[in-house]
Amino acid sequence: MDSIPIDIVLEICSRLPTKSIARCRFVSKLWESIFCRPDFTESFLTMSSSRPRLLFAIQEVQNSDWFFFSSPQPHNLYENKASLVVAADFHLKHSKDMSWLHFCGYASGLICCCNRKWISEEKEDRVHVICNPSTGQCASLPKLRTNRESRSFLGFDPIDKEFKVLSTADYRILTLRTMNKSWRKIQCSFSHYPYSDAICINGVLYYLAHIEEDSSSVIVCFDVRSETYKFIESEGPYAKLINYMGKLCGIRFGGRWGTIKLHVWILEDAEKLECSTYDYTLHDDKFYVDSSEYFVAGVTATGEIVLSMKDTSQPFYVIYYNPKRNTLQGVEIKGFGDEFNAGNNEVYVFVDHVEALETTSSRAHMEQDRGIRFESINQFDALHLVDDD
Amino acid sequence: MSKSEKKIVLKSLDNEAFEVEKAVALQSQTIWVMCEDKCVGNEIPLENVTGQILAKVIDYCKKHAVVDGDGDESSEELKNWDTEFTKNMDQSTLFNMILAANYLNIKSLLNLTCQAVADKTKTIDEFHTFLNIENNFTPEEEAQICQENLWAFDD
Repeated sequence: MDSIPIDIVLEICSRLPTKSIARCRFVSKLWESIFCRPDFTESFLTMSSSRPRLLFAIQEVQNSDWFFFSSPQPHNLYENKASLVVAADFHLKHSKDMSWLHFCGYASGLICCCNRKWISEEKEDRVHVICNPSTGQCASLPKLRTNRESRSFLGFDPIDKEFKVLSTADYRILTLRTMNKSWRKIQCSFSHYPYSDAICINGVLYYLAHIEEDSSSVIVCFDVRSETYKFIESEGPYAKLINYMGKLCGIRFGGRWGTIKLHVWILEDAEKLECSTYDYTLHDDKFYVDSSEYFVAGVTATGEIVLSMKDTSQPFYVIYYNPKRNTLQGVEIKGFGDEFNAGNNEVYVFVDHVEALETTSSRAHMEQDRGIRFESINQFDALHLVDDD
Repeated sequence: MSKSEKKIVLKSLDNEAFEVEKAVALQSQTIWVMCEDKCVGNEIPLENVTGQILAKVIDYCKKHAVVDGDGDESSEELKNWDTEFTKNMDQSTLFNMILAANYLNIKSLLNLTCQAVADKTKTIDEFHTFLNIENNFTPEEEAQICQENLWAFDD
């Protein structure tokens, strides 16, 4: 049998799930080096974007451990698929040094959390941890002293393929790929206090904040690549920021038993500040929805608004709402495992999750810095699988 | 164009001859270039492909060819046909199909067969066998990597 040309093997490999890639790395040293090459990680990301998944990150209340699950997003919602089974991805166990990891942000397949250590009334020390839920690898960043009300966000610049963590305390930023990771100071003309999570769309981080000077409410737009700020006046009260097919969108959520009301604004033109607004009422005779049980998770690339249950107790539903057709489809998600039946666990859901290879580099490569992004740390001494099906 | 000009003969490595419609054969970029260059007559020798594999490739191309007068098949139907096509192929046939698709430069067939291999490769040993690669890690190195990546082997 002839041997297969290397570019064909890469063709095949870019179609494998990340877990298989991790396995294939152990086939030989040659392959290990190939799988760490930036061109391969990039073509893998491209393939992976064509099969988007739903990612569930659940923080278990008792031990504060994080559990990651993912499931394929249904291709065709209208074929009446009533349930989907999730596959358990990884379990991020707490360590002695870091008992509680707060969620900070999600961007292009990676999750950022941070551990906060009390220093004084105003100050605390934060250690940010970047983790790849598809490969189970983690990296902790250098400690940062911050004021307690500041926030941290994860951003991705799609041009330079660079992940950066932004801290609003003293406006500092850290680029993940650099060798000497350090928090650099950046310029910000308006002191502001963020009060929402951030969403990263096409290299811009958006979040809601109050300007210190006059307490006015703004949408902060931070360009991850150029590291510059822009502020736009925000429309009305708090709304959950999401990516609506490449545009910034805010969704306010309300309703009563049996119905959910959504007030949606979409920033059509960021330069001219043109917004369009929509109001939807979700109701289905066959599928009972209680607004207090759900939150907005995001919007799929095909324009369906995704709502997820807040609580992991069974049965757990995700709702796809299509505004154009005014159709509502509930999909039951199975496979979280019995330990989550008790409820009260914090659930984060990410739509159109792509599997990235960002952290799958071995220690050998770390020393040589051949195309690696960040090291794997062993502070989480047990990165292991909960369940694998 | 006379009828004979619309047909083309493909000759395999083991000298098996296949007469096919030109529209069918021209899905292969390699054959297309050969015909453009007029460096071949009506018979094209394909030195890297056996008759058994070539027959399968031609089946695929016939299904995917847009031939005059033929109604377009729905994409759903084509997709199902593709799935059936690779479903029962063993690893060695798939392997040779990939090589043939690569040599003949038929992008969609290459996509299909690569995906089929990816879907069928479940264990690390299968991948070893498929790629015909020797494991050249020392037992110590392997143990260390496995330790660091327990999750990947946990099933």
